[in-house]
Amino acid sequence: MSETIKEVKLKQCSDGRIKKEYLLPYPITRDMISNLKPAGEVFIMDYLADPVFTIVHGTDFNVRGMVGKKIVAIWYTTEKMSDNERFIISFFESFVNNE
Amino acid sequence: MNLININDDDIYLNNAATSWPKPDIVIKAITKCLIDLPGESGRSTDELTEDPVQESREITSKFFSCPDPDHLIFTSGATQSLNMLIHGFDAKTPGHYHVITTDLEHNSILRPLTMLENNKHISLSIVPSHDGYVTADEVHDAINTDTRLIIITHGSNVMGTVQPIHEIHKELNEDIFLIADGSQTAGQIPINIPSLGVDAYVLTGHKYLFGMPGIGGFWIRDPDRINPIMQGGTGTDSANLHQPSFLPERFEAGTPNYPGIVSLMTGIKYITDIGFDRISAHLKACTTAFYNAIKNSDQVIKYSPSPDIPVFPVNIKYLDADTAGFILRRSNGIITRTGLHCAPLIHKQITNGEGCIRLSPSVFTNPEDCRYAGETISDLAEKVKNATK
Repeated sequence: MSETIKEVKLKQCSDGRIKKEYLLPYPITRDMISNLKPAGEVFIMDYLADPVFTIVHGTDFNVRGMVGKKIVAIWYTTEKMSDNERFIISFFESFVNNE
Repeated sequence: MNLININDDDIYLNNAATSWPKPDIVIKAITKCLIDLPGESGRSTDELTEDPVQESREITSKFFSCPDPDHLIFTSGATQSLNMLIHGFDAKTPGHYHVITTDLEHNSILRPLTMLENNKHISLSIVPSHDGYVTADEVHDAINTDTRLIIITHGSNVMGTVQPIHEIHKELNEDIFLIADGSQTAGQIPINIPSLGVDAYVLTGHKYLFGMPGIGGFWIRDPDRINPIMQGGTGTDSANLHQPSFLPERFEAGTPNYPGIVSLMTGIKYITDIGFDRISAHLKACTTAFYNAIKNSDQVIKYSPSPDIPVFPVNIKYLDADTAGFILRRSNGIITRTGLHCAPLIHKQITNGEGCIRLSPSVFTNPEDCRYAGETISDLAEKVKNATK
C-alpha cells in the first residue's frame, strides 16, 4: 500500500464487491478526474452544491468522490481487485510526485 | 425520558442494520458487567456473584410473554439462532422433506436452506410476496404431504411489512414446525410470542432491543423437535458426556456472553420504561415525516409507502443506489444502507436485483431528521431529473 494514499475503510458489500475508502494527501481536482477518463466512464454531477463524480469501469471498479475533497470511495469486483487497486493507487500517487 | 439525544451532525438512519446510539443505561450496564466480578453461574467458587444470565432470561421472557424462561435460549444473534433451528430441525427429521419460506427472507434463512437443498435433504418452496406481504392462503397452498418446516420473517428488513404469522399458524397441522424471524420486529411492536402460534421465534439484541452486537436468542415451544447442533460445557451435569437434554443447557454450550446478555436485559428495560404507545407514536411520526417529504416527487421510487415498521426502501430515477447513498452521506451527513440488504429475492422482485437505498429510524431519531432526509432525497431526485433532460 502507498505511503501517501491511506486506506481508511474497507467493507465487504452484500453484492460481493469490496468497497474501500482512501484518504488522499490533496483535494481532487477536475483535471485529475479528466485524466482518469481512459480508465472508465467519467461523470461529474455539477448540479450538486458539492459536485460528486463517478468513474465506472464496467463491472471491474467504480470510483465515487467529491470534487475538492480528499476522500474517494471505490467499489471493486473481487476477482480483479488487486490489479485495479494497484492501477488506481499509482494514478493518484502520480499527482503527489508531480507536486 | 428524552427520546432524542444525539449530539452529532450526522443523521443515522441505518437502525435496521444495527441500532445507534445505544441508551446510556445499556453502556453503563455493560461497563459494570466487565468491571464487576464475573457472574459465572455454575463455573465459579465465588458464592457472592449474581446470576445475570438467569435474570436476563426472565426479563426477556416476560417482555415477550413467554411463560417458561428456560425456553428462551441465548445465542450470538439471529443468524446463529436460525442456523441452530434449521440445522437442528434437519438433524432431528429423518429422510427428505419439504420446506416453505418466502421471497422476503434474509440470507440467514436462505443460505442454510439452500445448503440443505443442495445436499438433497429438502425440497424448497418460496412463496412470493405482493407489495411486501405473503398471504396465509398462499403459504397454505404451498403445503404438501412432505412439508415439515415453514420459516417466515415477522417483519421484512427491506419492505418494513409485518407478516400474518398468526393467520399462517391457524391452519397448520402439528407435524409442521413454524419458525418466525423477529429480527426487525422485536422492540418495534408489542409481541406475545406464544399467541403467535409459532414453534420457535428468533431474536437479535443489537437492533431494536438496543443491546450490543453478539447477543440474541430464540424461544422454543417444544425443544425435542430440534437436535442441539452444538455441544460443550454447561457448568452442570459435568460427568455426563452427552449434552444435557434439559433447558436451557440443551442449546447453550460454552461460556455465556455476559456483557451481551446484560446489555439485552438493560435494553429491554429501557424499552419497557418508554412503553410501546410512545414508541409507536414516535416511529409513526418518523414515517409520516419522511413520506410526506417525498410523496409529491415522481422521481423518487417508493417501494413500500405504508410500512408497518419504519423501514423506507426508495430509489432515485436515473441514479444508482450506491451513488445516491454516497451523496447523502458525503453531502448531507445522512447515513443509510444501500444495496441488497442481504435479502436478494425480494430485491430481485422490486429492484430487478439492483438494490435500493434503505432508511430506518429508531426511537432515538428526531422526526425532523426524517423530514430532512425525505426533502434531501426529493431535491436530489429533482436535480438528477433536470440534469438528464
